[in-house]
Amino acid sequence: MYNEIILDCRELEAPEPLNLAVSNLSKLDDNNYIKMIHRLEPMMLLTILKENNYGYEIKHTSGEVLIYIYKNDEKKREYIKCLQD
Amino acid sequence: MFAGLSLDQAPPFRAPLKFFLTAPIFACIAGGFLLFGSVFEIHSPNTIATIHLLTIGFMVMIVFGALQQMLPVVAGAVIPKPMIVANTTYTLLVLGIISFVVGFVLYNKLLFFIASNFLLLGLFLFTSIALWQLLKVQNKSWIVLGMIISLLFLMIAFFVGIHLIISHALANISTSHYDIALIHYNYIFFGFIFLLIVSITFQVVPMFWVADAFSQNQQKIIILFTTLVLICYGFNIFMNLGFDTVYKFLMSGVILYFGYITIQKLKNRKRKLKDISVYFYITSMIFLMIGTLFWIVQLPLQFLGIIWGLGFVYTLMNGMLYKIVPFLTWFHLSSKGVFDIPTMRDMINIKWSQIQFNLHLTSVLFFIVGLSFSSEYLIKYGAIFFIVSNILLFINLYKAARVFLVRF
Repeated sequence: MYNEIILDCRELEAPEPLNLAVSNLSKLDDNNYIKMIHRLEPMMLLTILKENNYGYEIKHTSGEVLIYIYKNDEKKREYIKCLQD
Repeated sequence: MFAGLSLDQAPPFRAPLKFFLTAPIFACIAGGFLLFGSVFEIHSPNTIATIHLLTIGFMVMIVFGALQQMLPVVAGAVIPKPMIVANTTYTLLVLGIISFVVGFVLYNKLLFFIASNFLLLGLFLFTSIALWQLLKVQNKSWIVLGMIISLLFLMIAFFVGIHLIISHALANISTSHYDIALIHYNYIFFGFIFLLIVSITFQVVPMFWVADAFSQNQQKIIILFTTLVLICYGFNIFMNLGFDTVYKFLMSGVILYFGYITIQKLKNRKRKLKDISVYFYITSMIFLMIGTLFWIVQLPLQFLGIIWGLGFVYTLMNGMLYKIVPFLTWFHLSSKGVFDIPTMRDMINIKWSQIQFNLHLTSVLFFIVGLSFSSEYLIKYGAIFFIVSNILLFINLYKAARVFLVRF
């Protein structure tokens, strides 16, 4: 079981969601992950995550995009995939 | 904030910035042509020079600057060697537009050839690199597809344009010259500019103004329908099928639909803070729709040039610059670890952007009324407002950029 850091960005305009997500990356450890709720797929953030070796999973729901961000770890990835299903 | 993170995907700030700051300068020169010129006939050399100062000198400059920034945001794509590509494209465009304008003012055929080569190289270089990066994107959204299609239309329109300018250079204006010019105008305006604006609107309206996202169906209908109608139009012109009215009605339908839903989304946005860039965007959509109604009733081309060119495209780009330049300043300062960054709203004084908005709107209204009454005086007043508006635009943008430039 991991702790969830929820970032609700649905009512934030650019660049606030990026700002919020990046400033929370330092809080990530082996016991938690970030769940970001957004209206759009944040391409710039995803590229930053990829370049800096963070893991992420994306789920599109009706009118919302959920982005799960975590320290790259296979077990956590599996856990988040289960959460999405 | 970004301390310790790698941010290689963002092009250096100076790469797009020079495009954004040069554009208002070319717009001022275009205003000067209107102020001191005396001919307002659409195919006169003076008018062709003025139109291209605005289309290439202002609009293409902004589009190329914005694309450098939008590719990572929209598609996660990056232009390789950004400073080399930006500097080369910029130099070619500036030399191309200067020789184009001087060529038309002096009606010098050698300068037409020089302009064609510079512009061909500059536009082709940047467009093909941007296209290549977009084509490499794996899961192409409708926004990415829209951008790809718009750049393809630019390429087609550009080669048609080269054919037209060479006809001028060789003094070989054939009977089909004006039909080919129709393809050039329509593919540039609807194929390139309209489709690109549509694609970017799908991205930036929810992103910058916290409005509802455009649904996948809305995106698909507008992009696919516009593309199909334009392809059919090309056949219609080349095969002389006479379906011009059908084309006009179909294209008008999609434009009105796009304008209407964009205004609705902006009106119903969740955070209704005072933001001049929203005024610019909504005004631009209103001009788009008014222009479309006038297009249906066959208003002369000069009116459409003002309503669509300045009222729609120019207004929209002007408003976008008030979002893009502060965003870039904020992003690049953050990425360099600067903490005391002013907010995007504080970088450009709202009072001065409001004044610039009023000046711009006044200039457009003067142009429209001046054309309606065939009054050169009113058009010249419009030109003065237009020049002052662009000087203020430059100052406002420079102030936002300066927050970064004084530190790095």
